[in-house]
Amino acid sequence: MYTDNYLSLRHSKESLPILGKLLVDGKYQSLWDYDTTLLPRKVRKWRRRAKTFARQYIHPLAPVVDNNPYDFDPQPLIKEATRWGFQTIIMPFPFGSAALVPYLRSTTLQVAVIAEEFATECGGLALLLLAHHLGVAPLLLSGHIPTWLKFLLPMYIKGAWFGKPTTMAFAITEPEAGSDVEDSMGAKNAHIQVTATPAKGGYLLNGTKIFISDGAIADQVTVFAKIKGEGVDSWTCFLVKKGMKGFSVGRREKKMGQRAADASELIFDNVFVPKRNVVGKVKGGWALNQNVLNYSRPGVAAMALGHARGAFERALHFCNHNYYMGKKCIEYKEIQYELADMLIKLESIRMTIWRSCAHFRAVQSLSSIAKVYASDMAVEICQQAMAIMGDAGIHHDYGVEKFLRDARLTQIYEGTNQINRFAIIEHQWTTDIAMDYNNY
Amino acid sequence: MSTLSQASIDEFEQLTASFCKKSLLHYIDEHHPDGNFTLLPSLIDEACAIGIIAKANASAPGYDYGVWGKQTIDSKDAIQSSLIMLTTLAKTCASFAFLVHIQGIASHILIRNTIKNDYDYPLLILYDGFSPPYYSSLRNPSRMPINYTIENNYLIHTGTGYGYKPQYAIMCIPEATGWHCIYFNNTETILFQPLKTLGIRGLTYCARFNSRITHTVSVDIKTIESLFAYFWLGLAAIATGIAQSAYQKAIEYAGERYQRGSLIKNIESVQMLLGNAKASIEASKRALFTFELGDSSLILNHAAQTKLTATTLCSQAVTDCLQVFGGYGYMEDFGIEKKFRDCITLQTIGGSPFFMKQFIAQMEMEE
Repeated sequence: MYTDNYLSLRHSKESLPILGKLLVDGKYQSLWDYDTTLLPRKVRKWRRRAKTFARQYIHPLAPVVDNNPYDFDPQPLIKEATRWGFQTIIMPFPFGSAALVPYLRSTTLQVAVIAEEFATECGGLALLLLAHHLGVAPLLLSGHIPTWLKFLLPMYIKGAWFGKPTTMAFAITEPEAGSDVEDSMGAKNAHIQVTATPAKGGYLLNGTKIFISDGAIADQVTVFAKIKGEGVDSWTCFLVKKGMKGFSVGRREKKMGQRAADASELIFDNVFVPKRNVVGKVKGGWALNQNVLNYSRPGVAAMALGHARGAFERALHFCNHNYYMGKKCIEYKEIQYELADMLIKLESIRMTIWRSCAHFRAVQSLSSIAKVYASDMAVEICQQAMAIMGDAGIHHDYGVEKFLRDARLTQIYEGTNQINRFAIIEHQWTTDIAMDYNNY
Repeated sequence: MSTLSQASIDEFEQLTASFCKKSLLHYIDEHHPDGNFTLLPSLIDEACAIGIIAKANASAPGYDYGVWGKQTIDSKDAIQSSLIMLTTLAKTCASFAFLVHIQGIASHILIRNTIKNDYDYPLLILYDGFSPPYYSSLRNPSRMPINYTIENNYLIHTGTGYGYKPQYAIMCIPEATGWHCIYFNNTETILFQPLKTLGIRGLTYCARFNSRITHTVSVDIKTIESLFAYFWLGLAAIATGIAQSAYQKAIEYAGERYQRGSLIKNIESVQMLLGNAKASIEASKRALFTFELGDSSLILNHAAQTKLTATTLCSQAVTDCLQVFGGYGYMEDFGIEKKFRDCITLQTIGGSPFFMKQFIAQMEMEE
């Protein structure tokens, strides 16, 4: 719109001397492109691949699956995502497809980058693909090389070489223990009911887990249970395989959004789990759980960012193609103002997330800051997008209301935002003091 | 000018509450989270018979004091009574409250233009959802040459597509010469296309029509302003009812659910959510019920501000209440997610916050 104007950025650059031209920016490119250049080279590649994949495979499915989630067969999509390398991106070669050098700088960045792209097209399908990483994370964080060789390596080989994906799920939530098991301080009083009773050669699992993403389709589930007669400090992680006797999938929840991914009940009725399927150490489950959440929260934040970006892109498209009172919506200054406001938020969310991924290990407070900020802002952005579209904003056809429904879940899972605030301050309350004020 | 005593207003509230308890409660169940539409005809009949819905027929029970009945033209108490009835209905089912509200608006147009409605319900009212309410376009209508082939108009209606057709449709149209109301009594010629929406589901349709016009009546700006005002006030009232019931559910849940070894009502972050919700609801109620009846533009201004304030506050309150439920709040079983969807829908339709802010500013500048 401004490119032909002599006052435009590009035109004004022309009047500068050569050195000046080199020092100023006159490009008209999206913030997405600008931001991509900030990433390491291999991660840039993953970002572009994820965008292409999302446009090609997720975008056409999104509205259909949102309307009829129960008739949807996710296997072809999972297979394709595995073929592209997205389902093994949580580890570098020889256990996964992540780029090694960037991985040594940040273990979470590559997942966060693809999560944003997937979620820009559909929250449910993004969750369907990404919840798998949540299931794999305890295996990875166990730091136990035999476990990696026994479980991660075959999974990678099967998927990458033979095109047979293995889907995993992560099961911590119970009917009487939701936020409890995501809250480090409050967990000591949690009403945990899934128990593991020692038996000859292994453990017998009993109890019920709920709201398990991908629970109905997973081939393997990392399940957390306390040792019978002990407290949450005895939590242990077990790898339960589909088909184990006594293990079944119960009801599938009806959710407001992210409907493509199931949230299922998992029932354990005297399920015998051999000792070799204990992930990490016996009674080492709590540490695994806390750190899995720290690893996954930047991913959830990136999903929230994706939802917000999806809403923004659709609102922008709407404003470019619709008219109010004979004038294109985008030509109204107040609409430009609102869109700019949304972009400011989007950009600040992205930078917060990437900042939280800038360490080799996931940092509890930074992960939670990214998750809380991104999810709260995402809901705000979706509401802004609906508001500028007027009545069209609430209709399924325009897709924006779906992003609001999807984004609302990011304020709840991986610990509600209230729990995450505790996680932030718990990590920092003794460290973030600039000086000793008592002796000043 | 007629006045209603406080006792009479309370009586309307009790009447509506009893209707909700006896009949409306069965409209929503596990299998029909958005309402069992097969029950709609009998519910509408019952609401008409006890006078909750206004009908443009002087012998009908709701003619005077039903929702947006005749007395609301010049009685603050009658408006208040309509708002209380809508709020009470919305506590049980926002979709049905919305339906009653729209029926009331449709009847109100007929009453103001002294057109007797001999048809059985439902009526329907059409408006162009693609045109946000700009104040200048309200005051200086200059839109379309009327050939009555109007496309892409949203239709708010009473259950068409779920078993029976409405018999009478009304639409307010801006013309170069001013506002007109057009009436159709042959809705067979209207093509209905159901629209899936975020909330208030099953009641919003897209209509494409090329229909024979039975009446065209020129209406003055005051009538149009009143209609907009009632429309917005009604949306604010329904949002307030939704938020009140969401709050009630959240309080009950907080008193039953244990986390960290104690009831969650004792957890500070939950208390903050509930406190914020309560304050928002009370502020919304005060905005809703504090108004002066005067010139139609005065009530329009108040209604615009109320719609903006009340729906925004109530959406915030329902969001907080949903958060109290944690993961359960996101599932359909507890019904709280529906309240969230409904409230956000009411915040957006008929003038989203973005457009309402401009509308209010434009109106203030004009005056």
